[in-house]
Amino acid sequence: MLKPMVTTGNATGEPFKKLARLLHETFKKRIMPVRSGGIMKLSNEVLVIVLVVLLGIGALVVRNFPFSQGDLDKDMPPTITSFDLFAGTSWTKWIHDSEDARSNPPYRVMGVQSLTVQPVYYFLFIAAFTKLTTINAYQTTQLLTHLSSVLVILVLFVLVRRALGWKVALISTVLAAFPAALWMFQMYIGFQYDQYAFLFVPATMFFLIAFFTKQLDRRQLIIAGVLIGFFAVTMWLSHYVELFLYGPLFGALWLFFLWKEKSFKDYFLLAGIIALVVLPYVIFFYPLTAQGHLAGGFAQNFNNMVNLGTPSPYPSYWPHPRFTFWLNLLGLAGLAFVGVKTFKRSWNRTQALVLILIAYIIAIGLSNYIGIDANRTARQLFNGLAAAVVFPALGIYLLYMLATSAEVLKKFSIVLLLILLAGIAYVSAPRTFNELRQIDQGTFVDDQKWESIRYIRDHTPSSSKVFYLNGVFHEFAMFGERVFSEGWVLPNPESAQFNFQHLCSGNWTPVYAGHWGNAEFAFATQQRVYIKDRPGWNTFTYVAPFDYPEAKNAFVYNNTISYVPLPFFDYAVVEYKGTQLDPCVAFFLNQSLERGHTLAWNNNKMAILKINKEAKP
Amino acid sequence: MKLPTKEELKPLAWIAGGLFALALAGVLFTDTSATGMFSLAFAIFAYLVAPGYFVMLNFNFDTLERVILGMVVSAAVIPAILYTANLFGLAISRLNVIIAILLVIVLAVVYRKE
Repeated sequence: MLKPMVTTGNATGEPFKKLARLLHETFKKRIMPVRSGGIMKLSNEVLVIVLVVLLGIGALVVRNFPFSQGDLDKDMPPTITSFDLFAGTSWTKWIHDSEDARSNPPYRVMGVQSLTVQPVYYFLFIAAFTKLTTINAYQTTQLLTHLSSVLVILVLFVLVRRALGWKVALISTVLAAFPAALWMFQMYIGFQYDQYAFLFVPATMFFLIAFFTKQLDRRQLIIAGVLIGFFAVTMWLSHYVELFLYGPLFGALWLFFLWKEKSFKDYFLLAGIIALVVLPYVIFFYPLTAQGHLAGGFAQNFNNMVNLGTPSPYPSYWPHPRFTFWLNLLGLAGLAFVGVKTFKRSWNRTQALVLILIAYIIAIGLSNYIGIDANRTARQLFNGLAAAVVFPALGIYLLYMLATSAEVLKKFSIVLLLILLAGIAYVSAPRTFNELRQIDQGTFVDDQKWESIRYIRDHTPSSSKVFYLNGVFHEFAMFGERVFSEGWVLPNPESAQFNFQHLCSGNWTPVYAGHWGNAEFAFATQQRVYIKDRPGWNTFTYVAPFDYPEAKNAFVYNNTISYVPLPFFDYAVVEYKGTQLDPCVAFFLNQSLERGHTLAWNNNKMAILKINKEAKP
Repeated sequence: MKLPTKEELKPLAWIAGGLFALALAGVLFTDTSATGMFSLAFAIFAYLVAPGYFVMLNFNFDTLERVILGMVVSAAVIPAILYTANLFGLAISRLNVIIAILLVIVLAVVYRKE
């Protein structure tokens, strides 16, 4: 016989009050206690370490294996889905090979020797790492990008653990480790240095919390100041955006606690040390980076850097990162709980600071949607996934606490937690892996195309100029490590139109339209120039590409498209099979051979013509 | 100066062992060569884990915090030293990377107090 349901309280909300009280009590007993140096029992500590390590490894595998397939010896970039990935990888390889981060790769600046204005820390970080391995820079670039992305999750784990306890932290870690593939957009579209720079945001907050909660003695304060200073320098010289987005938050917190604590000596000591570390770099790099837009150009054009007051549209090809329905629901529960606790003012200082950071990251990321846009704010939603999942994690945790408050289940609370974590991983990891694998299938380059790039890289003189008529995706040609022009390039379809209108109608043209690789590293004056040298602190000498008489006769620079006589090049690369333009390319090949150019190399898809007979393989 | 205790070095030994085991698994279950995998494990340990961990020994944080934050510290400080040295003409060579790592470790230990 069924027992009648016993109800207590009335219909005016008594059960809800009880639930709220229960949640409050469990939270107070099981989440709130935070002891410095010993947050949990030893057995739990070991359990957490094991789980964190497993989640870290799993997250790295999910991010890297769909692209590398575990073959880290392969002499080919694993992720070939967008230009930015090529650029980052190419930079790393140049620094690794030349052992110098001060100059541009000549093949990326039209063959001239020039100083770089590109922030190179991220590439240097990977190049130096690569020096200690036998793996090539193509693979380590992607691997460390993915590792940075995992490290972000782990740093947020230690922050959340301090604030909300290890269980909430573990749940948010598993949610961030295996997210929907779209949350990993930044890795296959090429926000590489964004992730690296973002890494120092939660790390800075960690040290600031230790400072604001008076856990540091004078000596530790000095070290923390030095480290925060280096974090700031690294952010600025890798991807300045994060520094300018999050610097104001840290500054405001410093001011607030200075006002509250009136501990002028310590607060100014910390700020002074940070300034001491940062200022020499600012003084040295400011004039240099101000020369180039890629470094922020904040001397010349501050507005260009943050676009304050100038909303820029969310790029149409970007996905809008969003949670599933259930995660949203759980997130709302978590948010409501945080709201209630905030209303009751029952957060301690650590908890409040961590929640402020999380809220700030989300607010910056969402600002794009409410018209308060600044440069690259939308990317913070991708970077800050590990922060955004804390609310759904809190929702899941509340359910877990409700479930384990039953006497029967109390004993098995740890087992239930393990099942919960394994369940989330089991549901999400394979799906993410497969989605990323599918993205990898749609890459722009295959092995046969890569063989042609490798031929150019390994078998042509380093001073060669190469024309890519077709077949190689925009800027992928930079991996050939030669000065190049692209006759088939996405940003300038006019060049392909010019070339193929002639070739497909059977008219030989002695001049070919193309886009010279990496003109963006030059800055536009009347003629595009590069920085050749820096004789003084704020004085520079410049060099123009092809600035010699023979070249001037052959080279007509027309903004982005150049019309160049074929003999100006040493080699020409074509895709002659498997395209809709095969007959046109065949015409080009036959006519070229008739004119005395020779076939240097070919496979079943690609061919390389030797245009300049003097070019030595 | 305060040299790290055995207890403090234990996590490093565990990490080195764990990375070695992972590299071994990588050799057995992936197409990557043994030299590739083991050199990768060495680089992660020497470049990312060790220098930052020694710096973090200066703080009263727990082991997990020291290891994780230590990796972030390494990722900032080692490139900073190398880039600064590079501006003075030193190459970013294998030897100089190792010297930068040792420099951070030695400074962290020397600056540490009882």
